Formats: sequence, C-alpha cells, structure tokens
Amino acid sequence: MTATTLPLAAERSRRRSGQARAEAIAAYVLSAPAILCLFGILLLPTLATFVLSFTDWQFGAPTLRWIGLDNYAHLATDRVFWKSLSNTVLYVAVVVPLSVGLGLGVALLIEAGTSGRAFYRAAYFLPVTATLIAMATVWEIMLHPSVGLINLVIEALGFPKQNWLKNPDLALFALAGIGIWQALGLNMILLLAGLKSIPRDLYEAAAIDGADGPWTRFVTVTLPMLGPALSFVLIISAIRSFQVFDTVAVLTEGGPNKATEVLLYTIYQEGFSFFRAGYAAAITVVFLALVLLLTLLKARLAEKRVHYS
Amino acid sequence: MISFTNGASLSGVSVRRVSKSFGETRVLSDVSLEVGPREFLTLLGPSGCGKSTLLRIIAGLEHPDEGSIALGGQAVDGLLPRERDVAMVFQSYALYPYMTVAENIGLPLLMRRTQPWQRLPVIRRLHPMARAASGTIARDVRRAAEALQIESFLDRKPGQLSGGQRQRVALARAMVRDPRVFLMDEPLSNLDAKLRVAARTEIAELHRRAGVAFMYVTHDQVEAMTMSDRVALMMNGEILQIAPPAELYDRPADLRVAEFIGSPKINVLPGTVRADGGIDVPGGFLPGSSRLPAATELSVGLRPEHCDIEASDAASGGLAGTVRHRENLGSDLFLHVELDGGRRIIARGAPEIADAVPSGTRVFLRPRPGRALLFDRAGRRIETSP
Repeated sequence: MTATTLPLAAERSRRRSGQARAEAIAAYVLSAPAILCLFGILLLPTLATFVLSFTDWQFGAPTLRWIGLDNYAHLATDRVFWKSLSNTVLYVAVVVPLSVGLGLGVALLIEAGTSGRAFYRAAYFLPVTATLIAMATVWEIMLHPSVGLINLVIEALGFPKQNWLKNPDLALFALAGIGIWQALGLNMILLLAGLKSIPRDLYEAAAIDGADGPWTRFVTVTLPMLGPALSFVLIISAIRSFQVFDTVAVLTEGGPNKATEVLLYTIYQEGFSFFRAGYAAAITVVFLALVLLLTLLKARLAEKRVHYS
Repeated sequence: MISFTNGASLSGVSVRRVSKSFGETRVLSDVSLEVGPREFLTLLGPSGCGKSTLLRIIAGLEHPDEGSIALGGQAVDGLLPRERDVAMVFQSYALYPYMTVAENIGLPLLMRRTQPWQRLPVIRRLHPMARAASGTIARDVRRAAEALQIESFLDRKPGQLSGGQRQRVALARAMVRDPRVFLMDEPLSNLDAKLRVAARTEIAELHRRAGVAFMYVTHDQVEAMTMSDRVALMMNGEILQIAPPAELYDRPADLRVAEFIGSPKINVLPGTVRADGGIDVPGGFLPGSSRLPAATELSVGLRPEHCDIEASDAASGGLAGTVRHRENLGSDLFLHVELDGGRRIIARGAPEIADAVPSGTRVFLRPRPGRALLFDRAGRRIETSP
C-alpha cells in the first residue's frame, strides 16, 4: 500500500468499524467450537507432551518435578535410544524406496494391463484393509523357522533355513518385508490414481515428438506428471514407516537383543512398562521433530517444482 | 462426387479405403481422400462423425481396420507416429506442464537429434556432442518462437500462459522441425471468439509460409470456409463431399451437406414438379423450368439470402406467408416467416426494411432465379442448370 492510499483506507475503516467489529465477534463466536476442538484434541496434547518432557513425571504419580533438559541429556547417552533411532531410520530407508518403487511398478503394470485390473487392484490392496495385528500372526506362521512357508520355499531352492525373527541380523529386515507388503497396496492405489490423471494426449504428443520408447516415455511424461502423487506417496510412506509398532509389538517385542527396537516401541516401553512418562515424552518430542521435518520437506517439494497448474 | 488431385507421387496425404470400428461402432467406412502437397484441407463435420479418428489414423495414433495411408507418396501403414514425420496440434494443446516453453518446443528436436545417453542430466551439460546439439536446438526453438511472437515467454511454464499463448506454443512445437504434414485437431476450440478470429489468420499464414500439406479438423464451418483450399464434409463415418468452400456452399452434393453448411440453416421445403416445369411448394410455387417429369416429388433447398422479401405478390410466383419473428443483427435482418400451409422458413433481408415488417405482416418471398437447390428423395442434388 502506498502512502497516498493510507488516509483513504483509514477513513473507510473508521466508517465501517462498527459493523466490522460486530462481524468479527460473530466470526469468533461461530468458529469457537472448531477452534476449541482443534486446541483440545490436537494442539494441547502435543503441548502437554512437550512440557512433560522437561519433568520427571512417573506415569500415575501425584507429583512431578521440573528437571529442565535432563531427559534430553539422558537421551544423548542412552544406548537403547540410539539403537532404536538407528533401527527406525534403517527400517524407513528399506521400506520407503521398496514399497514406493514396487507400488509404482505394480501400478504401471495394472495400468498397462488389458484384463483383470479390478482383481489385481483388489488383491494388492487387501493388506491395507486387513488388521496388521491379525496379519502379523499370519506372518509369524509364515516366518516360522521349521514349518513356515518361507523357509520351506528357501529350502526347496537349496538355501539354508533362517530363524527370521530370532536372528539379530535378519529380524529388522523381516519386519521391513512385512512393512513393504502392507504399504505397497496403498502406494499402488495412490499412484494408480495419479497415473489415471495423466492426460492421454500427452502420451500421444510424446509419440509424435519422438519420445515413444518405454523408458523415454516414462522419464518424459509419466514420472514428471506423477511428481505430485509420488512426492505425496513418498512422504506418507516415510511417516507411516516411522510409526512402525504393531509388528514389533506382536512378533519381536524389540528383540532379539534390541535388534528391532524402534522409536514408537521404545516410547511405549518407557511410558507404559517402565512408567517413565517424562522420559517417554522426550523421545516423543524427538519423534515428532523427525515427522515434522518430513512434513516440512513435503511442503517445500510441493511448492518448489512438483506442482503444475 | 469425390475429386482426386492428379499426380499421386506429389501428394501430401493419401487415404485409401480406410475403415475403422471401435467395438460395434463403425466410425469410418471406406474413406478415401487425397491432399495436395501444399494444400490446406479441412475435415468438417458434427462431433462423432469420425473426422478426429481419421486424423489420428493418419498420425499413426490409431490403426485402421482396413485401408492404407501414404504420406508424400510413401506408404506409412506400419510406421510409428515418430517415423511418419507428421506434426500434430491437439485440441488441449498437450503441452508438457513441467517443461518450460523452450523445452516444450525443443522436445521434438531433442528426441531426433540426440541419443538417449546424451540426454542424461549431467552428460547433457558436459559432453561436447550433446552441447553442440542443444546449441542448434536452442537456435531453432528461438526461430520458431519468433515466428509466432512468443520468444519472450520461452522461460515460462505453460501454466503461466494464457490460452492464446499456449496455442501458439503448440503451433511452434509443431512447426519447429519442418514436418511433412501438419495435422490439427480442433486447435481453436478452446479459445474465445475474438482470439479465434486472429488465430484463423495466423494458421492460414503459417500454412502459406510452411508450404506443406495441412489437415485441419473442426466442427466449425466458419473455420473450414475461411482457411481451407478444400473442405471434406464428413458425416457418420463417410465423406459426403470434398470441394472448395464456395462449391460446397453453392453446389452441395447432398442435402445433408446443404443443411450443415450455412447459417442460419438452409430452408428445406417439400416440392412437387408441375406440368409447366415450375415447382409447387407450401405457400406458393417456384417458377422456372426444372425439366423434370411432372409430379416428381423432391426437396427444395432455399438459402435465407436467396429469397427477396417483397410486400406484394407479383404474378411470377413466390411464397406467401406471415412474419412471426424478426432478428435484426445490424448487418443482416432475418425474418422467420410462416408460409401459408404452416411451414416456417427464414429469409434474409436488408436491416433497413426491419421497421416495415413487424410480426404479423404479410410478405412474399421471391426465390432468386436459379438459386433454389433441388434434391431427390434420397437427398442427392439434382443439377438444374444446363
């Protein structure tokens, strides 16, 4: 606004101030329930966690003491926490590229296929709809060292049997395998929707322009047009795999020897098994910071280059 | 009647006996046509007549069930769209939204002048051959952009451009590599009326400059009539007539052609030939010698501008009726006249007489001699002039 328009605007606002104030009051009154819910359900618990992380509160204890950064100082030297953090990062690093890559592959195959699309779509989507706790017990049988289907197949192929969930070198990857199996369907559905929204005539223009080989077509049209969907799927997958918990709780309980200890499981143990709520809150804050980082990354990606109007 | 250009070896596009069905629906039945090497031919017809499918078959985006296509005298039936050396402008423009205008225009050149490995991100900037190629591409892109006056948008994305500017980018992408044939699928239908007029002129000029065959698909008769050397009028998967615009208008081969071309639509009246050669129609008769046997039943096509509006009946024939509605466009006056006997027709007159013919006025419409079009019961036109 330039200086010459300021007096005009001021005068206008004075004239309308009475009506404007009434409107503002009405607006606040009308949006109050939503604002209260937003604070009560979403922001307050987060804030409470943040505050708790600076205390020594024990779950159920009547008193608590402000201990400043002690919880965080303890975190920095806690080997279980670092193991848990590195396990989680490794889990995410395995699950995200594979579940997105395979999801994209399946989506491309279904989209290119001529028959049975609905069947393949439903089949790959099935793990998403199933309860992971229930499915985890199925996987437990599948991964069973002596009668599990996976070991039977591996043995038939001439490889030695593995004790998947009890071997510290394998357990996390076995869980990652289940994570991929579970996440693939949702990624596939989201990417399939993304593929469907690519206008056909872009492919036709590419065919006439000479970008008609499978690979050239993929990098010239499909991948860039899939940008928004793909970045969304990547971030969602990352956030969801950061939250891995069910399979750990049911199948390994963080073991063997902390090999599958992940952040959410550590939080659960500290908070509800050891009742160290303050300490659990500190880990939660670290966890939230990581997820927030991903969310910010998504927002940046979204505005930088993957959005086309 | 379908006319063929002479000299098949010089032809731009030749379509021979092409048929195509999608499932049970027959979209093209036995279509043949020739486009001269520098000709502007428009495929005109209502939506669903098969005109776009024919264009897409020529481009290689669809495959005909029967028949063959030759471009520049060379059969292209087995060839991929890329190998046919055609350029196509799509109705939606089909610009790549994630590329700049320059990258959009340059893509056909990039794909033809470089190897896949030269397009890899790092090599593209460092390898001497790739850099040399991108230098010549940038030069040609600029030249095409300058021809269409979009050189100031080269670094923008299509999303930041107006409809008219996007359409120019699509044209530039088509002309950048001097294709053998230009194919255009309703390129103006997404523009507003004002821009469309300007774009018509531009495309006609582009055609003159390019000096190659243009095939243009539209359902808009004004576009077809103003830009084309010849128009192929299609309906229900068949070509009804291929002719220069004026001939299509004045000498339509078929009643359906006559009804499609012209606005307002041609008036069609049932007629019966009289013993003296005149033709009885509702509300009066047409004088003259049709030289047809008496009592022949036919359809009489009378364009609105081919009857004079008169206040009184003279002896020499004409149609009597009552004005039911006036439309004064300023340049033209259209009178909706209910003929005695109930038929309604539209006649065009000078706007100056508008005040003299309010609703309810008795008028007499006198067809201009020789301008009435006669069609037999099957809808084929009967030649009346010797």
